[in-house]
Amino acid sequence: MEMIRAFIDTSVILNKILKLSKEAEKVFSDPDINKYTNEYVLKELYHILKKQFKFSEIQVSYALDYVRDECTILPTPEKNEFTKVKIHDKADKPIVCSAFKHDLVLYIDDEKTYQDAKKYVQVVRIKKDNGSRVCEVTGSPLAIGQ
Amino acid sequence: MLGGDQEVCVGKEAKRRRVIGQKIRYIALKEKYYIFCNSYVIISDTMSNASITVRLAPHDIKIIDKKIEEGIFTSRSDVIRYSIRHTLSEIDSNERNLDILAEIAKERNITKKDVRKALKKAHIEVYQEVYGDD
Repeated sequence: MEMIRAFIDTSVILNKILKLSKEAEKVFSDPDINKYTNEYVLKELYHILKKQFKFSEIQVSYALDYVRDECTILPTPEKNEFTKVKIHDKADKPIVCSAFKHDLVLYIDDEKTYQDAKKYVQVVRIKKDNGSRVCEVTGSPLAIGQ
Repeated sequence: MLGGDQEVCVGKEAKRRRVIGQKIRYIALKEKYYIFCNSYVIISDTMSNASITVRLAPHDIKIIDKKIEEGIFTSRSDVIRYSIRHTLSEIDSNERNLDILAEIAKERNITKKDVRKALKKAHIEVYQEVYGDD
């Protein structure tokens, strides 16, 4: 089976770390998925775990260490790299941009982001209903840089 | 093989010292398994070893051979055995750490809905922190 090069979104990682979704856990245990994420996602993870869920510094470091072990960490894209991305939530731009730039399949579990992101990259939406992945492959991706 | 203040122990004592030992080095000799823990030489009764072939990049082999030259390991197999054990224990400890986080999340009743809510808030704040205001 061919390896899938996947960009893993913040929510999928959080659902795996906090064991809230079996589907997210499957993504992480699948040896055929080569996992990537970026520093921007790590910042979001830190923000959520530390500032919102009030985990201690050491507990947050467990989570971030795990992600660093499991995923290749890409740099946060520059703002001028995603000027042409039209997405309703601008915070998704650095994520879609990294997936596009490194030719990765984006793994998410949010319907709105899914609809937006599929204009630019291949997207896999983790769905609960049948426990399987739903993958929509786009045509030629649009250029998203300047 | 023994010298200086090294001593031999087997069974439970070997296991105990393997746990507390630092700079552990393993050398397989026929049926026996010798574990060097600082000044101790520990022989534990292990199963007979299976043999596998591992392909490595020339760059990695160079590093391995250098460590053998430096006396940190005694053979390429020694390095590979140590690396596998080290990696497996690291994975176990990562999984245990995640179990702790999941346990806390459960105690605090954190749900997928909470994650979505938190993500919405983080989206605004982290974007501003990284890219400034639009």
